[in-house]
Amino acid sequence: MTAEAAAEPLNFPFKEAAHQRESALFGMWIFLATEVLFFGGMFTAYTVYRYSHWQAFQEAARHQEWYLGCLNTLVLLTSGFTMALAVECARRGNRGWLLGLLTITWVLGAAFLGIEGYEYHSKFGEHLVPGSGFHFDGTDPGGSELFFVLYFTMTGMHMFHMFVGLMLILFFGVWTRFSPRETAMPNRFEVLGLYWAFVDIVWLFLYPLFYLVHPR
Amino acid sequence: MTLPPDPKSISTVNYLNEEKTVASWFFTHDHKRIALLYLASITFFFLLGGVAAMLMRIELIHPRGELFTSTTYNKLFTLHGVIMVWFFLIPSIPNVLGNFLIPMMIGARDMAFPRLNLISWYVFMLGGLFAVFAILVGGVDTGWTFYTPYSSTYSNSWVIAMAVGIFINGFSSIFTGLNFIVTVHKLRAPGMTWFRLPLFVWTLYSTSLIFVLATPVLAITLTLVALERGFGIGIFDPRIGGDPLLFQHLFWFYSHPAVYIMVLPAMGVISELIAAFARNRVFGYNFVVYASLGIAFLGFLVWGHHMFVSGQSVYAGMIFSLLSFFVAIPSAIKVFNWTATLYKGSITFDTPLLYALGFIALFTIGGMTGLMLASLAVDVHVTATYFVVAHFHYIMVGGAVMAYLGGIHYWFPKITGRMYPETLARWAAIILFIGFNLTFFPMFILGYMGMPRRYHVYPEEFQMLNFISTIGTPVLGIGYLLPLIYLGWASFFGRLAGPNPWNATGLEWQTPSPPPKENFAEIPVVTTEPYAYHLLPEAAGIHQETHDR
Amino acid sequence: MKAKFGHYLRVLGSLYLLLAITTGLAFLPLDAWNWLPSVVIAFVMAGLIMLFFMRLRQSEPLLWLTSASGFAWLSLLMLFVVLDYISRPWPR
Ligand SMILES: [Cu+2]
Repeated sequence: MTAEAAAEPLNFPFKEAAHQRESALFGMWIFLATEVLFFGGMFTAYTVYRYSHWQAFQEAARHQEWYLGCLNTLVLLTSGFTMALAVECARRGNRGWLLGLLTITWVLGAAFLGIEGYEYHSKFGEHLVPGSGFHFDGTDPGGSELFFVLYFTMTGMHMFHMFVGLMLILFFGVWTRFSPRETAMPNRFEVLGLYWAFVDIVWLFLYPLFYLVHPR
Repeated sequence: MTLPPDPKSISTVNYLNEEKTVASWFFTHDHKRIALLYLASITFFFLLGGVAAMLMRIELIHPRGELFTSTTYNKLFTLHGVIMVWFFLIPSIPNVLGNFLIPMMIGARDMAFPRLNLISWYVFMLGGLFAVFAILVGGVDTGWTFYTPYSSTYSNSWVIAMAVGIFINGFSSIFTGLNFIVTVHKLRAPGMTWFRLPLFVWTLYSTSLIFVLATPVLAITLTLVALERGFGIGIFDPRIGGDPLLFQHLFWFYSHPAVYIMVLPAMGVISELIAAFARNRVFGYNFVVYASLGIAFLGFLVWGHHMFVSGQSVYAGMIFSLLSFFVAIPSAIKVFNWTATLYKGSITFDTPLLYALGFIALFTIGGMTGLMLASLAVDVHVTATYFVVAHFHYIMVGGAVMAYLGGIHYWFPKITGRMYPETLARWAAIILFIGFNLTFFPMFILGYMGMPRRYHVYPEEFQMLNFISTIGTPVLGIGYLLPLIYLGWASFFGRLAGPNPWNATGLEWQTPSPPPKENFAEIPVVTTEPYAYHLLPEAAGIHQETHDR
Repeated sequence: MKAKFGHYLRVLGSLYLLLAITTGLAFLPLDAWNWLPSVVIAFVMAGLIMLFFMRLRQSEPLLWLTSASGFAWLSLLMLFVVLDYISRPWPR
């Protein structure tokens, strides 16, 4: 099998496959730059509040299970690896391997959401969900509430991106499985792979900022 | 530039008539048709925002303001601000003229992602739907700036629906910006090097950078406000140690650059108009390019000038003040270069040039008063007064809207294939200029005397100036309605224009009017700079004959 | 394919290793500064993912520039916001 075997049908106004591919990748990278700034607004808020309430953040973070965060990071890194391989297979037109790797990626992503959901669930039991039901015994309960406000909005926004990624994998995977075409359409998987890796990267920052503040 | 223009050719099959069904418009991928979809939508929103402005001016005739309650008045200025900023000004030049012209100016058959282009229009309309819904069910009273904690905690109005509308609208901006950037990078015709790009393309490229780098911050900021409001989780809530000023930082990180989203494309239009009607190369082309990029970049570093009296640190205030002065440099370079281009040009005072001259005058006034506002001490005196209102209307309306209308007139023959009535159009431009100054100049004086913005009740000594301002509004209104009427008429009954009625340079004029579906029968090869008027076999006589009745 | 697989596997191995290091370092008593090592390592991990999993290494310079622009603009936002907070009495 030769490298770069898979062919992509040309969309108007493109006349060459390479030209179309580089434009698609460029477009996706621009979109990811906007995503950096989208999450960046929240990271800025985190920076300001961690600076002003760092002790309250440490107290709050004692209620975080660092090993769950670590496990989730492990799961997500692995899914990033399988996705990168899947993209490689799509580019080589290897449909069987592509579908297999996509399935593994999907399962890993779903497992991540499961672990995260379990954590959310236990936070409810401990009255650590911000709002009227929030209760915290500490020197600066307000500052600790800010920690959990940021925890829920930032991981929630990240989970939403994960969910979109899972839906896209499902959609493109099923489409590829049942399409009469012999090979996959590589460009969409390359773009999807970029998205998935980006969501990975966001988590790499969330992990230390929410789980490693004060692990025990 | 290489294709010789054929004055006799009138395209029979073009993008307007090659398919006629309604579906062929709503599912079109043609950048020119999408531009017209945007044109229709933003004209609607302009009228909506304009009606709100009229009502406010009527209310302000009387110092006791007896027509509306305070709440209704608050909702009116919020409606006016939100609609005019996000649903008219920001999409105006980029999405109408930019969509139509960028592929044509760079010698491409369409945008890089034609389907995304259509999606961006649907996203825009969906955001508009939420905004109109928020208005119909009761309105929003926070002002277009949505300052916390009022918007997140105390306001009793439809903040979330409006925030969702603006959030969605932001994605339309992002898609547009993304599409423009990829198109300019990847689809330029052979020979169309970066420094042969028309200045209009350069300014829209700079604008697109702002679109993609600033808009997501607005999106997340409004999301946080909506979350705080909806779930009672206080991100900006001082009761748990949060800081409302953080909202202002995030909001203005977008909203100051957003000013340049509105003004940079206007500057691009003006460069095109001045070159075409002075029949001259643009003086210092490279400087104008660098000035555009410089404005886009510096525009990100000055947002704190909206927060001088908010409780921001004085040191931050000083730095933001200093940097705000720096933005004036590239803007001044542009004004200087336009003037130098006009100097010794052979000028014809057609309608588009009248708009361009109006732009330069009003933009200069707006810019100079902007410098006053950028200096800390003066700003403390006039913060939140009508001085600020007058300043940004000189930039937004006197600048951006003037340029938009000038551009609409200039490219009207290309878009519709027909000419507008020149004499009537000149009168409309003059009426617009008079009406504008009548409406907004008194506000400078009012503000300097200390009249605060956003109040409908005021001391009696302000009544005379308010009255003059209100008198100006119908004049301004006529200035806007006239083009709407005669351009509407002329798109069906105007005289046929021919491919290049202005005898202008630029690839868009080398195609028939209206252009065929994929713009160019054959992709052109570019061999000259964009404003090669000195190379044209200057046929002033022909030029006169083709458009002076 | 074999070679590619090994190549990606080595990247994954490095990421695992960095994860172990960052988690271990978090137990050092650095108090208010404990974010510093873990954020630095997060940047290194993000760099590895971008270079190899996102194939930036084989991409044109334009994509390098684009990928950097998001972070560059975010740092402008953070720089000026932090500048404000450290130069005024906050928290009150
Ligand atoms: Cu500003």
